[in-house]
Amino acid sequence: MRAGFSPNWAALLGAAALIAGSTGSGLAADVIKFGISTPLSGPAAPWGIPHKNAIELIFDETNAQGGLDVNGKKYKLDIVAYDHKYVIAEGVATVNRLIAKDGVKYISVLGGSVVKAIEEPVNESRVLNLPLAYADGLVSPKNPLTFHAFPSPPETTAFWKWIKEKHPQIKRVATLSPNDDTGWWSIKVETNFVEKLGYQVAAKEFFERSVTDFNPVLLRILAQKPDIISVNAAPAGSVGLIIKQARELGFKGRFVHIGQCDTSVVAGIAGKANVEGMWVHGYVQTPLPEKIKSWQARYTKRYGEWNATSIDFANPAFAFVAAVKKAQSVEPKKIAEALRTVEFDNLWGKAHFGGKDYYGVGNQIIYPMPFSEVKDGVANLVVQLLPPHD
Amino acid sequence: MPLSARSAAAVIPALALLLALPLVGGDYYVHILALVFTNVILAASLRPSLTCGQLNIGHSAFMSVGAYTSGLLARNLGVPFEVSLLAGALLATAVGLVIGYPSLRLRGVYFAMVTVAFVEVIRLIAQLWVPLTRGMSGLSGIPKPSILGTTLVTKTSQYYLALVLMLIVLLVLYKLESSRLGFIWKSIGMSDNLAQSLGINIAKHKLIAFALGCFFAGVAGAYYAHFIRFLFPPEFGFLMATNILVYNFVGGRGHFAGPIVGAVFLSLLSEPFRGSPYETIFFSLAMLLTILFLPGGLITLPGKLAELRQWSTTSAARPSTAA
Amino acid sequence: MTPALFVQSAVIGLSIGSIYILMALGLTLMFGMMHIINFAHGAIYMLGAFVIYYVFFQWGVPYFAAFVLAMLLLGLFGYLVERSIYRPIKGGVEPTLVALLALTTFLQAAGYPVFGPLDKHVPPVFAGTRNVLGVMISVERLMIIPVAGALVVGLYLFINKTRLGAAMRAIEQDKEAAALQGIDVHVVNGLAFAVGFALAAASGALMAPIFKLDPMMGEQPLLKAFIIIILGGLGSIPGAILGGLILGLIDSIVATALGAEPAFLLSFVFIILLLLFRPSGLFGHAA
Repeated sequence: MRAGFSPNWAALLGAAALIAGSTGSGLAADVIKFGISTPLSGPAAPWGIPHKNAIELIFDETNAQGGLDVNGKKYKLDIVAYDHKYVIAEGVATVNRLIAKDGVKYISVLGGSVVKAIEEPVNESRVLNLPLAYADGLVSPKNPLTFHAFPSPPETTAFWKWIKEKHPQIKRVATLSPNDDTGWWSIKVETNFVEKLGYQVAAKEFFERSVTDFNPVLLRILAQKPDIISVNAAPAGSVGLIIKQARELGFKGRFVHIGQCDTSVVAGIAGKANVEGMWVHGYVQTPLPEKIKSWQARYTKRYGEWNATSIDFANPAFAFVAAVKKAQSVEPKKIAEALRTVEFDNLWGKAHFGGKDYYGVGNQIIYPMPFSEVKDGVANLVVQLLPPHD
Repeated sequence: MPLSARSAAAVIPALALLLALPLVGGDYYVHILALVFTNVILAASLRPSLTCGQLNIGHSAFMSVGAYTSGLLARNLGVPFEVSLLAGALLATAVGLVIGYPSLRLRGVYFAMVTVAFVEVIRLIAQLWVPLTRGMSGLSGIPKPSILGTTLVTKTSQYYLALVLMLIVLLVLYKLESSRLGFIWKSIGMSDNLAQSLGINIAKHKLIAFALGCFFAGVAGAYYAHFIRFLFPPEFGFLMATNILVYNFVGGRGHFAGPIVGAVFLSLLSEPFRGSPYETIFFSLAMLLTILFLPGGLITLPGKLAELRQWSTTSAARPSTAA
Repeated sequence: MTPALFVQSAVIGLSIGSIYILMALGLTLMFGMMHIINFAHGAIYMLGAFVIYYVFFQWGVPYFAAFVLAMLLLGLFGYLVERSIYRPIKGGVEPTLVALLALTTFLQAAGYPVFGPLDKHVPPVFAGTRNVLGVMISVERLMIIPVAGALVVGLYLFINKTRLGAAMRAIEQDKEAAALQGIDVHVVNGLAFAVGFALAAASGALMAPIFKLDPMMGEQPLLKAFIIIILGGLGSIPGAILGGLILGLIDSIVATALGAEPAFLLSFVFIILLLLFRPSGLFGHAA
């Protein structure tokens, strides 16, 4: 054996390289850095890509108008975005990186389980979070700086009232969702609500996010003869496969997705005929109000193709900009105070944060939520409803 | 193999650097290096099994057992860190014995397949036992580590804990490898039939190597649980198990420092690219290139370079007649 | 579980089982000849599916032509892998395993920048559903069975009725003796890689229109194929076929009753027990 080999030379080199390469987070003092952790690849990318793009576009437009004016100083909005692929461990790692390495003080994270997992670091470092996430206990007094920027099951169950009214022949509901925080809470809230409305919950099933063969779980569901299958909080790809396979197994009833769902992706997988009549929240292809048509043009110009999910996923940006303007401060705590009182415009109308009676704290976004029905492969806006609590 | 004066001369400055690091690096780099230390523990603890010729692609399963055990005990029952760490390591060892003992007589690929199946079994149990582990939502709310009742609140203090744990583990493993036990392991690895014919109880010694590995993997897992404070079943799956194996192969199987070099090099290599697919691309390319061109591992690199230099100086002295 | 549900899961199970058989055949062939487990098999399955995505879906080439192309391309790739990775390592089992692991990690990771971040879908080749034994099954799932069956018969004929197949069997029995008989072991090994990869590509190509495509899609089929070859016996082709059918059936029925993940768990536990007490599986040689 050659003599004199140092077992730790790699450690030496590595540590030295790290120190040499370490950059401080000292950037120009007039930049507001906003962090995004969202699935930019993988099955949930149809959510994450428009999430990042929408925030980026609004921030760019704000910058083009001179940026944000805070106490006489002009601030430019900058985003730092990471892909967490809807893998929760990656979510935790990317958020830790945003807070510890990039030094951001405001973030928007997508994914219920991811946001649950980072609750403590976010609270400890007093970072403002405007997530798009379904999880039990997320909006609560113990997360004072977390403002949920999209309607959750307690808000969106309002659509069931509409379904009951317009389609009284539907009686048996089967519900299906991912086997994690997002799914557990969605099913819990939804089944509670529909039972109160007088529906029969024929089946409640969970699936692992990685599953592509839904036959086993669908066989169990269909054996209970439901009139409608409610797919909760699942990514568009999974929804498409679920619908395709359910139709193959002979299911003739309706589908509904109470969370956001890109039905163009769903129709692409399951086929237009199979998706006919599906109800979905947070996704509208037509008709689009003038304000949204303008957004469509700007988004398409910037990103090359239109994505209707961006309409509702722009909420975090609208809220943030409005709150900073009102608070006239870049301190997360002050911005949070402003968020609780500010009324601002999103693409669907007037929005604010409320829900204090339901959640114990007014940190849930409230606005007239869009509800669509898919006709000939296109999501048609049917009604806009306000949540049951203000 | 005694610690030569030259090796000590290299180790001491390295140690000093590691001790001083938190003073120059920020929280983020301290975090990264603490994880590197965990990887070193994992890689080094796999080495005894590999030396005995057992191709173990399931090491991460024992890390998982240690992590969940320690995390759950501390989170749900308020057990102090020292106790939960020990409990995690012991349970990991017990589980290891349950699978390791019957598998002793399996050779080569068959043993590897058992370890692969076992990693999946542990992952699936963690995933499906939702009331205990919260399954795919992950287990959060694990308390920080504490020593004698004092919580280690800062990343820096946790970093030093990792450093100390790593040094203890490496010292123990080094002593064992330099002792008669290590010698027996090597002989089993080279030719177990021959070793047996010389009266060595190969089953017992393989089991010791395996159990030792499981214990330290459990230690690494417990530390990880209290450091990251969030556990997610797929994280300890096949991918991590193969990573630990790769640290050993890329670092070098022939030397005690091999897994250390491999773990440090590959962990740090992926850091600049973390989060992008290029992280894995570079990692796997490094693996492939090392296997093809440096079969002895990175540890042989200085040797090879020295050889090359010698070769080029000697051939320069003699005019080459080759075309 | 009602009888109708049972039958439905059984038929579906046979169909999925056929896919896994194709994966398992390649694995078991390579193990029998070279005593290596090809960890890269899952990535090859994935590449076969992506060939279908681009050639059939994007460029409009007829499905069966695209299918054959997938097999040929990846078969060629297999031969190249044997030459550039397996051969230089000079047959050490462990470094080969690690090298194949590296290859698979690389292919899967490279899939993201190359194919893009979004999951992909291929439209169905055979639309519609049929009534089989009183239950509804999609035609595309049914079609897997005859196609896979044809490939299995083709493989059987190749192994047993051609000279190259005989050479493979010779090497499997005794490598040195085969070399002494004048068989170029390297070339025949390369062929085994090619055949194995082609079969994996075929399974991926068959599955492409049914589920979705993403760079990691080969992981699960690889693990299922593992289970099959252990059940059937490492190196045994009839074992892989029977093992595939059994696993497909049991998996589907248990999955319908308990869920897919518990079914997976049970099959792994079963495999561990099998390895401990009867490593030769159904038809394999003694370990």
